[in-house]
Amino acid sequence: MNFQQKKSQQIYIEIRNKLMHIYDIFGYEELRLPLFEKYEKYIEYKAVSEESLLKLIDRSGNILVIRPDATFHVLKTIQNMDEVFNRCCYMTNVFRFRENNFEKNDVLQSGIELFDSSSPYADAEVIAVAIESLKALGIENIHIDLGHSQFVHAFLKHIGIRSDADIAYFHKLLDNKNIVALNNSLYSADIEKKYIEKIYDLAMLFGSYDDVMNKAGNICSNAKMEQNLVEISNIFTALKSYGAEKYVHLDLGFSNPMNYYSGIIFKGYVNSHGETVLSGGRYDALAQTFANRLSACGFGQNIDVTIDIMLKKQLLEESNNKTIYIKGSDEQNKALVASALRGRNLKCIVDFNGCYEENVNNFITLNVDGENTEVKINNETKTYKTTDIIASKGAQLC
Amino acid sequence: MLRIAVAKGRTAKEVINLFSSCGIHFDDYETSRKLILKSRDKNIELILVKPIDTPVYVESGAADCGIAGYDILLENEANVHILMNLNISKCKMCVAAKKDLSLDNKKSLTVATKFPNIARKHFEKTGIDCKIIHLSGAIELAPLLHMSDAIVDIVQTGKTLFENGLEIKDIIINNISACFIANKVSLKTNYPEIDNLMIQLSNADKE
Repeated sequence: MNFQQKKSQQIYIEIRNKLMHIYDIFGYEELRLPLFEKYEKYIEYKAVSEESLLKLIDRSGNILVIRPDATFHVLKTIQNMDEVFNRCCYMTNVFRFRENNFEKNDVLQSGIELFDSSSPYADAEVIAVAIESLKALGIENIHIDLGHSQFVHAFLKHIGIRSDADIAYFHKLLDNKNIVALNNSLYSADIEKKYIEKIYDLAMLFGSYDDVMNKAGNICSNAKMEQNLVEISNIFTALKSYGAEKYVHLDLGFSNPMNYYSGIIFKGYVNSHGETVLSGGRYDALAQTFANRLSACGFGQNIDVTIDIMLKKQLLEESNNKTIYIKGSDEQNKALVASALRGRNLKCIVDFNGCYEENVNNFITLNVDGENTEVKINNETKTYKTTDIIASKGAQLC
Repeated sequence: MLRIAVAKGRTAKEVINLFSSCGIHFDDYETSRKLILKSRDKNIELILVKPIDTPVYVESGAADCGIAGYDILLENEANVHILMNLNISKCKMCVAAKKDLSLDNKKSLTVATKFPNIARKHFEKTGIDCKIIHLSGAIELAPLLHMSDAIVDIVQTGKTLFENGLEIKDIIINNISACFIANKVSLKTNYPEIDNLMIQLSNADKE
C-alpha cells in the first residue's frame, strides 16, 4: 500500500506526537541527527550493506554517506556532546538504495537508544517502550519475537563450522529458515550426523516462551548457549514487571550475519501485516567502538510500515476539528468572519478563487454575502446575519 | 485463512493435485479463469501469479505463503523463508547449446537466459568471460538465430531442446523442484495454520 494521502503531513505529526510522548514518559530525550557522515567512518560500521549506501562527493573529494540508519548517527552525536545522555530518541528519515520496487529508498524511522545499562530490566524497558509505542497508536495484536544474537553463532562454532565464509553462509540460511538449501548443504559439509537434525530444529525454534525454552534444552550443546538462555529467561521475567510478557514470543533461530548485535535481538510484527514494523537489540560492542559507551540497547520503528498498518486497520481517523470554508463575494466580511471564528480556535480557510471542495465530510461552508451568511452543515443550510456571527464568534456553528 | 501465491500454469496444476491428495479441494480451477481460488472449506485462498513474481507477493506480505520453483528463489534472492521441498515440477538448470558446438575450450560466451543472476554467478565460477542477454521466454531461439552461443535455462524433459537441435552441455543445479515458502512475519503470526498445512503436504509427499 502506498501512502499518498493529502493529509500525510498532519498524520505524521499526530503519530510523532504520540510516539514522542511515550518516549518522553520513559525519560528519553530527542536528538537531532546529522544527515551526512564520512564514508571512511561508515565502512567500519557493519549494520548496512555496502550496496545499499547512498553516497555524495563533496568539493574536496570526500565521500559522504547519506544517513542509512539512525543508530550510527546517534552514537556519533552523543560522542561529541558535553552532556552525558543515557536515554535518547529520534524520529528521522533514513535513506537506502533498495532493489525491490515495493520498498521506498527513503523511510521514516523513529526509535530509542538506552546506554550504559546492561541489566535485564534495561532490555525489558526497551522492549516495553516498543510495545507501548505501538499501543499508543491504537495498534493491537502486537507480536514481539525475542531471540539472542549469539545463540546460533555459538551453535555453528560448536558443530565445527569454522571459516568465516561458511559461518556467514549458514547464518544466512538459518536467517531465511531455508530448509531446502540446508538440506543440500548439510550433507556435503563435514558435519556430524547428530548435529544435522539439531540444525533443522534450531531453524524452527520459535513460538511461545515455555515451548521454546523446553525444546531449547535439547539443542544446547555448550555453556555459552546455556548462558544465552539464562539471559533470555531473565529478560522474560523482567518483562512481567512491565506487563509486556504477553506480547513476547521467542525465536532462537534469529541470526545476526553482520555481527551487529551482541546480545538479545527482537522484531515486532502486527498480525495480518506481512512486514516487520520494528526491530532492535543490544549492541554493546558497537557502542564501545563508536561512542566509548559501555553498553547500548535500542530499537527502531518503521513509520511508513506503521502507517500502512494503521490505514489497513482504519486507525487513522480524521481529526474531529471541523474545517470551515468561507466563500462568497464579499471579501471584507469574509475576512471579518474568519478572524472572529479563529478567536474561538476554529480552523477557517478563506476561499479566494472558488476552488474549495464541496463534497467533503467534516466541512462547514459559509457563504458570506454582505448582510447575510448562509451556513451549510451536513447539507442543511441556515441563514444568519453576518454581524451576529462576527459578534458571537460563531456560536451558531457549534 | 491462508493466502498462497502459486505460479500459474503447470506448477498450479501440480499444486492443486497435491492439495487435493491432502483433502484440500479447489473446485473452481478447471472451470473458471479466476485468478483467486478459494478452497472448498474456505481455509485457503490460492492466488495464481506469474512464476517469476511469486516471491514478490510473498516477500511484500500480499500473500502469506507461496509455492515457487527453487530456480526463481535463487535468481531473485527473495527475502522469504524457504521451508520445504515439495518434489513437484522437478527440473534442472542447464547450460545448453547447438549439438555441433563444443563449449570446452571457450574462453568467452554470449549467453541468453531468463536467469541472468544464476548465469552470471555460474560463469564467474567457471572462469568464462560471459555476456548475458536477458530474455523472458523462448530462450531456445537465441542460439538458432545466432544471437547467442549458449543458453542457461531450466530443463524438464529435454524435449524442447532436442526438437530445436540443442543439447545440454553442463548442469548448473540438479534437482530443482517447487518449494513451499512463507512470508517472514506470516510464519510467526499464522504459525498453527502454516505448520498444519506443511504437515499435510509432507504426508502427501510420502505417499
